[in-house]
Amino acid sequence: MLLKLTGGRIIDPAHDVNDVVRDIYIRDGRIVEKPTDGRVDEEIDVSGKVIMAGAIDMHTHIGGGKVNIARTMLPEDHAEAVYERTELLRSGTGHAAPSTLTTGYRYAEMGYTAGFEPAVLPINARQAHMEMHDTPIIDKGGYVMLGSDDFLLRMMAANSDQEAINNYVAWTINHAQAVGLKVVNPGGISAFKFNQRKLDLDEKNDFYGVTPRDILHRLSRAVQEIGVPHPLHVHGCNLGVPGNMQTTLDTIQGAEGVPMHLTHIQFHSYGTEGDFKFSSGAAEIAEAINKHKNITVDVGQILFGQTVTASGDNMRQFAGAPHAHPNKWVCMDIECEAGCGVVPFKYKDQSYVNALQWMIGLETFLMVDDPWRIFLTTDHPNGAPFTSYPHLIKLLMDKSFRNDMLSTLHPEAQKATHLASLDREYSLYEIAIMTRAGAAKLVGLADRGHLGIGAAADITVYTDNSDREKMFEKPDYVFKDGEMVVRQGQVIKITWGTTHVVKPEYDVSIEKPLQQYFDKFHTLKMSNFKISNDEIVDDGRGSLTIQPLHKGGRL
Amino acid sequence: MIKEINATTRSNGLPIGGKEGDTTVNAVASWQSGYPMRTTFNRRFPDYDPFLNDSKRILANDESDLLIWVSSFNTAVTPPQSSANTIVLGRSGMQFETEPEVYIPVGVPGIDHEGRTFRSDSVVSVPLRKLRDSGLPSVFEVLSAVEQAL
Repeated sequence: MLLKLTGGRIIDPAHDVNDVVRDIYIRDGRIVEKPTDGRVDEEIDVSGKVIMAGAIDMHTHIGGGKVNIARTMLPEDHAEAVYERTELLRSGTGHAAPSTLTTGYRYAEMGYTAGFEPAVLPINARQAHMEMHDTPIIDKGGYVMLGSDDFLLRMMAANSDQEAINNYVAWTINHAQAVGLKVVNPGGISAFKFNQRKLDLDEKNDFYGVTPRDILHRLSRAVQEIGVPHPLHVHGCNLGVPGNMQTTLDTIQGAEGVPMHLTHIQFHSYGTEGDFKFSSGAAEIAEAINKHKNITVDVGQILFGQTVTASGDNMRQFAGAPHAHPNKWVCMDIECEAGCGVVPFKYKDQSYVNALQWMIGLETFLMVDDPWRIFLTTDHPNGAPFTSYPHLIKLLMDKSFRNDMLSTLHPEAQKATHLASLDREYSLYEIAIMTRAGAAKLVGLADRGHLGIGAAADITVYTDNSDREKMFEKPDYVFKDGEMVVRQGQVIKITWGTTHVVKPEYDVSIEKPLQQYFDKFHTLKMSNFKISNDEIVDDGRGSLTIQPLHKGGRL
Repeated sequence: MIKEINATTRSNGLPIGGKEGDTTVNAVASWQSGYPMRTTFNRRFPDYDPFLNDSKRILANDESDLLIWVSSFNTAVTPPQSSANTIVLGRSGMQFETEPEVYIPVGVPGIDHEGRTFRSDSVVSVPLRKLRDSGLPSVFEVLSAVEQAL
């Protein structure tokens, strides 16, 4: 079966193609060359339509313990967003923390064909995969979290060599079935167990004597040396703390040229100036990002309304708990290996702090020059639910819309920002970089995020509309692996995406100390910790896609 | 109390509960529908009400005419007495005080077929492996076959 999409305006930044009219041919789920005999089985006229690869959300909390806690905690959120079952779709609920089926449908309807869960706790990885397995249509994958686990901290306290740490990282990525490595409040989640309430970049964990800087250094090197394409995914120290911009600048400097992805940078770009002792550090942070080519960021934009914050950073989530809205929250020290904190939150446009957070996020988007190194996220659901992406795209692409919104916010906050003077408007090409080509490159997906010959036929077709929110919330067609799954913004077919992983090599000698460690300290056998390939495939609905490592990857 | 103690020092509770697969059902129901157990789908969407949807209460008040009882771990976990027609998907070897209208013997996850289960802490899940070839179907296989036949 050969399908032809005829006459679309192709935007494919991976191949430097910007708004070029070209036909696309699809066979067996892949984009193929024009057939030599010119025969096609089906043709869809998409002339005048904007064609991009399917969008990729490189940081979205869609699976795992904390997400399920958020769901359980918010029956009132679900009651406002209830979805009936249809002949095709299963029922579901949820706005801030939607059920898995609803999550897959909503992403697909917006033209997204992949989402990556950024906080897979090793001990809870099986649950994260089970939830993602029940998320239809989109591809998925996870970044597994280390950095406050006792095995690593013990190794570091004992000054183990880098090769041993590389081995442990590679082993964990393999057996948690991950596509990358994440660190959250490096060492801070552990420090919180010893009753430390903050941990700055050069502050020592009371028990292990290890600093966040050491941990970032060791883990970022490990990721680079074992050849994992996605750089170490860093949720830095001091999230949400006024003045944390200095920590962030020090972190960027401290990376010493090693690739590092700083996530939800908005929450880490705060100064202490002004009457409210809370100011924007976006200009300095953006300047540092522009200067340091090894650094990538996603923004974690906040948008106004009710949501829920769910994070592995229980040290900071505990500190934020008094702001819970509604007033309920959960913090956990999961198996003493990692943490979890779930705090519902309502961002208010008439709050000085929230209004400024909104401005800081947008300032960052507009002041970072290179769209290949900045990514469009709301840190779903922490800054806002992912369903608000079309609105966010409009804010980036339409200056007058942005400034109209700005003029309604807390007046003192307006005085504290230069946002109104930033003239930049993102182009469709730049949006395609951030949400497709750049995201695929960052995560390390060789066959996604582009429209070249051989790519997976994940394709979104939009009607050009100067109202970018309308354009991006309801694509004409979405194809997933060559099958039309969405028509006129409605899901018409259910498919099940693949799980992207990497399989860096490791030396099995690491299992000797790990076996002892599991036997002595864990409540789970090491053999049960490991998630087999068969578990991902499960009843045949799931599949595993092993992405290539960077060349030069070694133990 | 634990929350208050944490204002100055560290304190933890370990909530433990659930058996015979309860914890797993609760977790899966929460991610698939947004709600834990005691959720009805009568109105074509998930509707959570822990009082109205208490199955013991529903049976005692004769509010249902059909009970489907799934119990694949323990032969002693049998359906309660009720006037509802009863279909049991139960572990092979189950004995009944009152014979149900339909009984389909099923295998045990972790003995007769693979599966996964949450521990009673609701955080860690473990793989269940197939240890013998009994020929007994899993609950999933039975339900899938019924769905196919419909």
